[in-house]
Amino acid sequence: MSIALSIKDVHVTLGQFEVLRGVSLDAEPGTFVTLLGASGSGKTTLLNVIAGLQQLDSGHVLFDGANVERRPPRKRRVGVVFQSYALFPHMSVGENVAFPLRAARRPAAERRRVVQEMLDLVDLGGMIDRAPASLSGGQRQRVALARALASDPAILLLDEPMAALDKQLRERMQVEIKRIQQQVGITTVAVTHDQAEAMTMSDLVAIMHEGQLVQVDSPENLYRRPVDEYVASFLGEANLFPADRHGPLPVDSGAPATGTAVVRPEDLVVLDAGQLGDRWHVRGVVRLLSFQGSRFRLEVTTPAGRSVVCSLPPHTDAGALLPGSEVTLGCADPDRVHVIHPAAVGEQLKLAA
Amino acid sequence: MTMEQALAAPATTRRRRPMADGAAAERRWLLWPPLVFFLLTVAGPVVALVQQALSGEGNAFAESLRMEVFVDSVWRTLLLAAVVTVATVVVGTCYAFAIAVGPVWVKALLMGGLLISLWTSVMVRTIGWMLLELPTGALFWVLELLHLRSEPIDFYQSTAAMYPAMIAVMLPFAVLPVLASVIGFDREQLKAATVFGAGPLLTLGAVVLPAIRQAMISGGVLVFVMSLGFYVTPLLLGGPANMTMSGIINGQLNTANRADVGAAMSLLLVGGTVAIYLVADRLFKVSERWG
Amino acid sequence: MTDSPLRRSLGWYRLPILVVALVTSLLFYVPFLVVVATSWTETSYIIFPPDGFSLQSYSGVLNDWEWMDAFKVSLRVAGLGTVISVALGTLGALALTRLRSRTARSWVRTLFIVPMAIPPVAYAVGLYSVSLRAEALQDNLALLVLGEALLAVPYVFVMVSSGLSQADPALRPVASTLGAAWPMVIWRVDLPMIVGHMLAGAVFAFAVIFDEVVLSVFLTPIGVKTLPLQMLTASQEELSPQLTAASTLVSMLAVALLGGYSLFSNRRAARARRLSRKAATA
Repeated sequence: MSIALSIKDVHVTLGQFEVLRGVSLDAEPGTFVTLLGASGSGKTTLLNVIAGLQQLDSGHVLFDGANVERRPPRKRRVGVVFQSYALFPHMSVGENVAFPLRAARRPAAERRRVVQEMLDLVDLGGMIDRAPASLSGGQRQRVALARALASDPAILLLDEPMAALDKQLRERMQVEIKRIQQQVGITTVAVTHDQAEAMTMSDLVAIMHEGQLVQVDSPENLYRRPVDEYVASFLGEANLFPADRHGPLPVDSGAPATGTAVVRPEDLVVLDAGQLGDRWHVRGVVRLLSFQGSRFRLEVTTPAGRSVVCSLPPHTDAGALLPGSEVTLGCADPDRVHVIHPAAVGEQLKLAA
Repeated sequence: MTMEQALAAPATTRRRRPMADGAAAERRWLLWPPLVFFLLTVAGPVVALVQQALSGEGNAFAESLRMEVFVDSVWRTLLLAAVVTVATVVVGTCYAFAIAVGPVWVKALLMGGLLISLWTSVMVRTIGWMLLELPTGALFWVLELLHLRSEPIDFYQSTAAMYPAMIAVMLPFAVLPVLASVIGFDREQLKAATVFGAGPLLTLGAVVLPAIRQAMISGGVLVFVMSLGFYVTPLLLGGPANMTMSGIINGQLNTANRADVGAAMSLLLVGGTVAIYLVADRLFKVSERWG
Repeated sequence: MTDSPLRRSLGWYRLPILVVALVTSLLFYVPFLVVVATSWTETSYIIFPPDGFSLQSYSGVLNDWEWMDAFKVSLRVAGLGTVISVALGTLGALALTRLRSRTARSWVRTLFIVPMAIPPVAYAVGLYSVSLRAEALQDNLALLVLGEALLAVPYVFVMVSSGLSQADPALRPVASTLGAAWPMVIWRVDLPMIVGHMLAGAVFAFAVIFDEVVLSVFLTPIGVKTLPLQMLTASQEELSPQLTAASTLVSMLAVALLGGYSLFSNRRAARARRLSRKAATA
């Protein structure tokens, strides 16, 4: 059974530092929410607030509409996977998973049944008597997940769940966690600073910056329509150009700008002289071209020293783009250019053709 | 042995493997001075003790073990060390926890007490206990003030008088390892225990104590072994009726004039103590925690 | 730090723990305070509560050649013993980091800690028997200094090892791949990292030797006394306020020196932390 999570205007001060400055967030039952932000943005504090491990200065936390901010952690029915996994080193895998049930004084037979069920769910059915120290990082994470789910929690909290894993394993576990989350159907809040991880796993990504939520949206909307420069450059690579109401201004023109255009590297193409017309474009000198498997990455410097990054398809003719050669870049599809307008945040403006 | 091999190795191989031989030379220079020192300061006295023990007419070892005062003192010392160990470990663990979780003023007070105990000499502390326990000492003054007692107390130089003092003397050795272990304890494990619904008792019993057990044992072994050699505190506070092995040995040398028996007893005491430490060390890895 | 996880986990159980600990701390404070209080009595014998307030027993101690001589002897023994034990304990701790075999390491560790377990009386008797056999060692403090140094080696070893274990183990191989011979690695890489721990070990060793009484009972030449021995003798005679005045003086000295030292080293550690934080955020 999963719950709807609602956070209303939460403030937290640690020492003299205001870590959370009015955070509000709503999630439907069964949603996978990821809190994404740089270290020190307050995301782990927010997770602790939901778990009940952190006192609030003000604000509310609601599980299915009921205030829980006065409820101690053990009565909140939360399951947490900690960053270090925090498996108890002197207990076996089975004893670790059984711990929440032991704390709830469940009968031994039920404990045995649930432990087996949980370990089967995370594919560790045969490891019940192993010591945590003898497991690999990925296996430990699965044990931590099984333990978090053992007491049938209402909400699952993941604190940087992939931080201790290497890249390949990380990608596999992201899919795996998503599968288990969907199978159990549990409302989940994860904390991460890895944007790819956030994009892969979440229904909803909340970008945190200096104790506030900057934008809460689906991964695609965040990428396509960031509300400000911070979100734009935090989530994936972005080229930011000065813009006015009509779209990006001629580069290095010094014309007065009222907003910022976000152009993703994969939306830039190399233009021939004939294609130019009166389209918006950027001229510059190639500084570096690197092959990255599925794409080429091209770095260009404009005469005024602005750096532009461009991602090109693999069939690009690399010979024409040697460092030092002149190149002109333009937008493949003007509709994909998003303009951040401080006056009218999120307003989508079309680029005049 | 590796050193001898290195020395015996022909010069050519030595030049071919400069790293390995550098390491051997390094180890030699680092280890030999302390080893020679240990040999001189430990083996010298032991050999001298053996010689002296064999210098009398009879078998001094057998004679020691037949002496009732000595055998009694062995049991008394063992009992005393055991009581002091259990008490210091239990109380010391509480003390360490209190430093870790107490409010700031408690923390300061407790650390202050610990430091006074570490920084002032055993002599001074024992003198303090003497003055406290004398028939008309400070304790009597307090009791009189509270109208609990009007005649001088008959407490000084009794078994009960020496225990609190010895526990106080040994307590820092039990507190320090536990304190290091408690302060260094993984906070996420505690958070996990809380989140998964464990109350204080389950958290303590199933999560915290297993993790600090090793530190408690290390402190306990050290306290036990050091208590076996106790001399000054029992001498001044326990009186002649509570002679420890050390006290008896001193008596053999200075009063009974039986240097051979004293030497035999010393060997038994040193041998027994070191043996106990070595066994405990192999069982519980005590040295690894300290070193 | 009001939200410490351990505090929350213990819940109300921390009350009895605090009470036990606070009562226990009386075991540390009360005897010490009694010593201090009795030292300022105006009487020529010890009495509690003290009668009046005077510093006469302090001036008595400071003008008494017996107490002052004992103090000087103790300083000398502790100073020499500390030098020896710091040198040997540091060598041992350095050797420990350079041993590869697990068994060798565990034996070296045991060897350097086991002197803590040696019963001082039995050891003193042993050293005394040595002095009976070697005339050169009679009538001087050589054996006492050596014996005290042995008893203090474990403290230095523990401190320095803990310092070395905090150091980055990659530094030494790095230095040797850069062409430094092992004495230079020790001098330029290891020692600068552990000099603070060596100092702490030295302070500890000095305190241990300065306070040790049993070895002096057996090993001081006739007419020479260390300070703790002088105290022991005085405590077995008629108790005079001079004894507690001397105890107070030496304790104050220890508290001042050790407290000053730990304040100094704490401040240094705090400065190092600040610097590294600054470097990390810059």
